[in-house]
Amino acid sequence: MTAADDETTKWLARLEDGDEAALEWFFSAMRDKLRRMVHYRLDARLTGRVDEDDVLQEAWLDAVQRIESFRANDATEVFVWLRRIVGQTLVDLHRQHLGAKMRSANQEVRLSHLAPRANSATMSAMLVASLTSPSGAAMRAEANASLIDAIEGMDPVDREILVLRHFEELGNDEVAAVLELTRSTASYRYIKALAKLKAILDSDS
Amino acid sequence: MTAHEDERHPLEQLVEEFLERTRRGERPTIDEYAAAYPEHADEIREVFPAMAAVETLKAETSDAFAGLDPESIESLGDFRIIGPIGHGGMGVVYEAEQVTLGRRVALKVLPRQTVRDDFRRQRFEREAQTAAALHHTNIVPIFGTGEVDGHHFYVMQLIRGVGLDRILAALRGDRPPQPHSTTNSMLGDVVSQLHYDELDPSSSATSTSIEPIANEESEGGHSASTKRPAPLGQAAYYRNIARVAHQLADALGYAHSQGTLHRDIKPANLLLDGNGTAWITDFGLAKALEQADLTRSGDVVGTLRYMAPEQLEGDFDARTDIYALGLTLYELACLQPAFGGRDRAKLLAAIAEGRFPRVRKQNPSVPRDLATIIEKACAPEPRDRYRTAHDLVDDLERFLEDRPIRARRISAVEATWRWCRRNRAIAAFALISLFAVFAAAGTGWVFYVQKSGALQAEGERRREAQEAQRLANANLALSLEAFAVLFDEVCGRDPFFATVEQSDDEEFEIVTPTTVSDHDLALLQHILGFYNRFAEQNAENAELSQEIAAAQWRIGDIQHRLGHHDAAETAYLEAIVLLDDSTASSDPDLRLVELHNALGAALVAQARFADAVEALEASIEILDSLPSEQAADPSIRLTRLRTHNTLGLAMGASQSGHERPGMGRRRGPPRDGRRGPPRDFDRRRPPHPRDGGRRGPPMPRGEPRHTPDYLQQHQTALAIAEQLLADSPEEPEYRLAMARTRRYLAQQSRRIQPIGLKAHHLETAITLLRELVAEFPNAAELEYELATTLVSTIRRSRPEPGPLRVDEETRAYLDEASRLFDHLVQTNPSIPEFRSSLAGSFHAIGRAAWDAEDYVAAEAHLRLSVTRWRELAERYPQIPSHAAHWSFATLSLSQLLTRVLDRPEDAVALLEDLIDELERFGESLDPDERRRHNLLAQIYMSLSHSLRALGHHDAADDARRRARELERPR
Repeated sequence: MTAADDETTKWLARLEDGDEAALEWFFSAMRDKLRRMVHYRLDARLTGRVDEDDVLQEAWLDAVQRIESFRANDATEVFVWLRRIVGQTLVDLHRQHLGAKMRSANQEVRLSHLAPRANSATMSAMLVASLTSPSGAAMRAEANASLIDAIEGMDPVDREILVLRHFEELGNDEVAAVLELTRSTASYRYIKALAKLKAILDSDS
Repeated sequence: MTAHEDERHPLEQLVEEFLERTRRGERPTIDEYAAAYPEHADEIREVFPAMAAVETLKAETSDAFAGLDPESIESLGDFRIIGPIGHGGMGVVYEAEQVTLGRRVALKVLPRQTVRDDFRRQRFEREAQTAAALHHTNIVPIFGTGEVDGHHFYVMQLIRGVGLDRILAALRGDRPPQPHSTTNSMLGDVVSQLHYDELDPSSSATSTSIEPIANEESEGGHSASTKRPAPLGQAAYYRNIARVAHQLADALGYAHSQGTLHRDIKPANLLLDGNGTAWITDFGLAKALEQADLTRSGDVVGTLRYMAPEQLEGDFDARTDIYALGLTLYELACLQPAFGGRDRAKLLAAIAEGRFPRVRKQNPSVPRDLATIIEKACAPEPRDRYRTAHDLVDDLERFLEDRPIRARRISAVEATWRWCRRNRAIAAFALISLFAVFAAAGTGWVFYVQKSGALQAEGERRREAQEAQRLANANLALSLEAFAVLFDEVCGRDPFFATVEQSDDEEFEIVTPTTVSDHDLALLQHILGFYNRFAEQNAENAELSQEIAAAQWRIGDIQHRLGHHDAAETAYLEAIVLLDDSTASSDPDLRLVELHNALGAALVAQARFADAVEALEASIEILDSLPSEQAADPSIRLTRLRTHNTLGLAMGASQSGHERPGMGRRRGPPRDGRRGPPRDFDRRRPPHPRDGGRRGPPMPRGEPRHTPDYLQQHQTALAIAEQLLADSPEEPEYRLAMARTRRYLAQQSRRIQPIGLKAHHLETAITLLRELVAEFPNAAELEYELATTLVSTIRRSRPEPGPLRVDEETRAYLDEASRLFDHLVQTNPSIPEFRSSLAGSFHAIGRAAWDAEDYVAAEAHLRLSVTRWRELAERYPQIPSHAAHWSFATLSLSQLLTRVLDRPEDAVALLEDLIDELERFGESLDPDERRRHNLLAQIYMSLSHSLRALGHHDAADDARRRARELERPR
């Protein structure tokens, strides 16, 4: 067992005792992941009105309230629990601001909003970011657009797996826990999803 | 949870590790993983690219468009958003109601980034004004521009139409690209009218007063077609698309006459409405929304697929719009894009060469005249296209009226020649097929030349014979020229001055022969065959001696490029003799300068530096004898500069004891007793005073030198560069020459010049090159030179192994170099030099990290370097230096493991593996036995150290003994 694992075990025990400091420890360790979740799932109409950090702040307060009822065996369970609280916060926010009904905390990520189809604007943005050649940027933009099409055309679970792994940057165990799959299923489906994606992209070209 | 449920896909665990490493900022590669897990290599190559694609997508998109959700806007000022119509070029288009006027309009909302500064916003508004001044039936009218809450948009007439991109997708039977709000039923209508109706927009009322079609989704989308009359057959379709093109070309012609270029013609910017009217949208706006910095590097907009070849180089005029329209028409006719595929490099090459399938090859049912019109409109060379859009309109009219069109079909020969013409400037990708044509033809013609001499004797056939002779000569010239083009293509990458490179370990002078991609290799061997046959069959033909000399020259270049340096030497010598003989007058022949330089390079590549010095001094001598007005010519001064630099490199190497004594020297007799060239070219001229009489044994090692003459050579080169730049300070070639000269000065000055001066040279070179790279962002050669110079900041000043003294700045330089090489490898995957440079830069970074006591980075980079070099050694076994570099990288890594990281067992495993592999390579590792043995000896010594650190003293002694045996001269 590594030192890091020891540390985690120590904090898990303190969390079980309802120690707010322990919750803080986990929360800040997982902050980046939670933030990415908010970033990709917050309705864009709320950007500008709602700060991503405010969402996390609200979720934090919520978590503190519920700390008594929470028991976890490992860090992943803590993460899933916190993620669910953040998700609920998001649902509430959307209701409050937009009156919109969100199907679930895992509000569908809509990639198409992230990158419009290939055009001079995307090219310019990418040029600045990556310093590739203009023609290269055009090609990338086009490739991105078709990749987005391919991902959006996939089975919802596969798509969610891809989004969780790549956009929220979760590991296999976390994806499995979030989607309530076995580790094995999550693992095999992810590889299958990549293979499918490859096939779609190949057949497009 | 059962054990089974816990079992993860083995590949998925690798993916996870790969992603973790990437997110930590490491740069793992797919190749690296495939190599490390050979049992999964196939799956890795299958799955990892998709993983990398998604990850790249995230990286590229997460910031650029955050904060703008185009489908969630409810209103913008006076405009109530009804719903999105689609993503057009550079933004999202909405249907909206202009509340105060009560009219329906289309709004295009631009991403914030594109208009975030005043300059660009003004420019956008100006262009929108220009576009608003265009009034044409087939141009979507622009009403104005606006800005609300940072959302910039422009207001257009609402067109109930469908983009040609979606029409094309439907015609191809693809899934609808995206269920945007333009209805599928509308799509079905528009598509079926192409098939069934005689499109005639002029007969309908004004096309703007169409009944809006409800925004409903109807799967299948072709419900409307049942109402249609029976199909008119395929001919109607082609006439209809010609009508569409006619309208669009007419609109283009009008806009061009108003001085407005579109700059982004592609199917997505062209609409077809329910009345059969075609519309061009986004006129001129693409340009307005470019980045300011983009403008400087050339106006390149539009999707790559529809870019014209000249557009890739930043040129744009009316004919470029015509080209893009031609490609759109091509796609409508063939239902395939002219340039398909997603491989960026291949696509770029295909576009640049204008290599798309002939229309009727893709689709034989396209009427011949229409195919001719299309091919003329999208000819790769602007001068071969329709001069104006009106000319295109004219020909389309002729086609529609069944009159003869003006464009003429180009013959196969003409097509080939156009192709050839283009290829001078373009990387060789598919030359083999053209080669096959000329290979057969060329050899036949050569024989014909000889036979025709006999024919001449027969009186009655004299005239025919003369005619045949004339034809044969013409064909021969044609054939020679074709080969010259091919040759320039493959050999034209100027490998000449990159041939002397020093390894990281100065115990060895590694000569890096110019490496050859597999593709070029096959091609070169074919070309070589042609020139060899040509030279042999015409050896006695005095009239052809110039051509034969040229052929020998090229044989030399090819052999040099293939790494056969002794054969190259022979060929160059033959060429020198032929030219010497044929130059009756005493005029100095500049070709002899080039040839001597080439000979010098071939000798350098054989590590015969003293001989190289002689050859290069011969060049200088000829240059010295030029009349002063000729010598003042800038191109000759540039040649002189280069000669001095190479001479300096050769002198420096010859004096630092890297000479290969007698190896391959004067090997191989002249061919079949025929007048052989003098094997010592310098017999033909007075011996140089300094090295006259030097023969056989090279210069003694470590000979004391008071004047560093090799440095003088570079200083002379520096002076020439300064003069050249004083006359033309902007000339990129001179700036490059200056930078290179400074790098040589820095590299060569290791013992003599003060450290500060060396740093000054390098910093000046880096500044120059950075400016050049910024000015010419697509020039691989410049990027390469910059990266090489950055890496050379770490050149060691001491021969003993171990850490170097590097500062943070040097490490930053090295990281930059590594990024540049990585970029070069990605953009030019077929050029092995870039791969080897990347591998070398990993090595340098590893050593630098070691010095900075960043051992994690050191190990990681050294491992990367080992992996990369190993790949190269396996892929290009004909290049000995790959295996040598691989060995050096492994040696560095094993030293790190043994001395610093206290993992001698890992070092032992690495070294033993390396020894096994090198034995497998055997002679191909390096034909020079002495060097091969020295290398192996070094590895055994290192192995011995590591074994001793492990406490295996007997094995260590064995390894040491083996090393001693190998070192023993035989």
